[in-house]
Amino acid sequence: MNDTPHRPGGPPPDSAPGSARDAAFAAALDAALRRELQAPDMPAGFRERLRAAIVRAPQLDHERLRRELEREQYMAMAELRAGTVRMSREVSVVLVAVIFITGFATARWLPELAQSLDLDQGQLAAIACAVAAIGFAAWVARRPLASRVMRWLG
Amino acid sequence: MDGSAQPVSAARERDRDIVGLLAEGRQEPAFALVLERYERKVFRLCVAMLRDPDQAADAAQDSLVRIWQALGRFDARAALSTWIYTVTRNRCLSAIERRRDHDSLSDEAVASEVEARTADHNGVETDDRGELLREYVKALPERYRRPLLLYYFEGCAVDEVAGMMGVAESTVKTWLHRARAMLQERLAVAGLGDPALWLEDMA
Repeated sequence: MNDTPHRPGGPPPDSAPGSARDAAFAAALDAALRRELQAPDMPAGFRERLRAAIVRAPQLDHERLRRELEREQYMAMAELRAGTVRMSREVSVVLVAVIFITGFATARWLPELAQSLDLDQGQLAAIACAVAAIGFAAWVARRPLASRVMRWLG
Repeated sequence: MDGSAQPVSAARERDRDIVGLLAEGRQEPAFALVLERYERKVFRLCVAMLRDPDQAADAAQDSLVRIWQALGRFDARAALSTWIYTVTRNRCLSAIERRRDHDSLSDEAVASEVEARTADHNGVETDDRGELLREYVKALPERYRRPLLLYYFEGCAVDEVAGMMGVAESTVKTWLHRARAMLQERLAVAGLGDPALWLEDMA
């Protein structure tokens, strides 16, 4: 059994008989780490350099700090707006592509599909509209994206 | 922050004299006490975060200058130690950002370097084994290496490490456990899994 007292954060005490070797290894490793990972000494002359740096350091200018923060915030907002515009363009490209592909597919396969399913083109168009409406409703349910697109369209 | 409530109140109690001096507008004696209590800890935190002692010294100096500049406006909403460690961590993170372009030594790169250095470890001298262990520690992922270093730097005080890193004690314990498990696994794979190798006096 492990005789080393258990310290908070230290290796877990030996609990299972089969893990005696593991526990011994853990305790030995802990001891080795304590020997090897010594806290570093402060660099020579650190305090003197710090004092000199403090003397050189300017007093904090709150007004300048506020202006810098405002400028950073303005830049972040500009970046956000640019991202929104980029996303709007991407969405419009996707919409145009989807409309084009749908139109092409309809023109190309609708007559054959109607013939093979023994439906007239009006019935097929109604089914297609229903499917499209369900898809659109599901898409609108994803409100963040939909609202962005709607805002862009509006 | 389940486990950090008690240490935070203890830290508040310990630094009450500094806060009292600040309330009286006596910034210089307050800062002298801050240096006495936190200078080494700030430096150790910088060493753990930055790896490089020179960069750590610069970051520690930078942090303490910033603390001096802002100390007069410390409003005691948080414990003084929490504020000091937050300032220090932010300075270290800025230093890491600055050097990222110049020095992109990733965990993988360090690991492969360690692997190359430790490839032939048969018959290593006792002093070399200590060096080898430090190399393996260096190769740990950052989130495990930092708490492990701070844990041993700070005399195995989990609450102190949690305060320095700004996380709960339970988180530090988990990281320490994983760090040790990783070390054990890697040492065992390297044929250094015999407890006797590490128990004997390596100095």
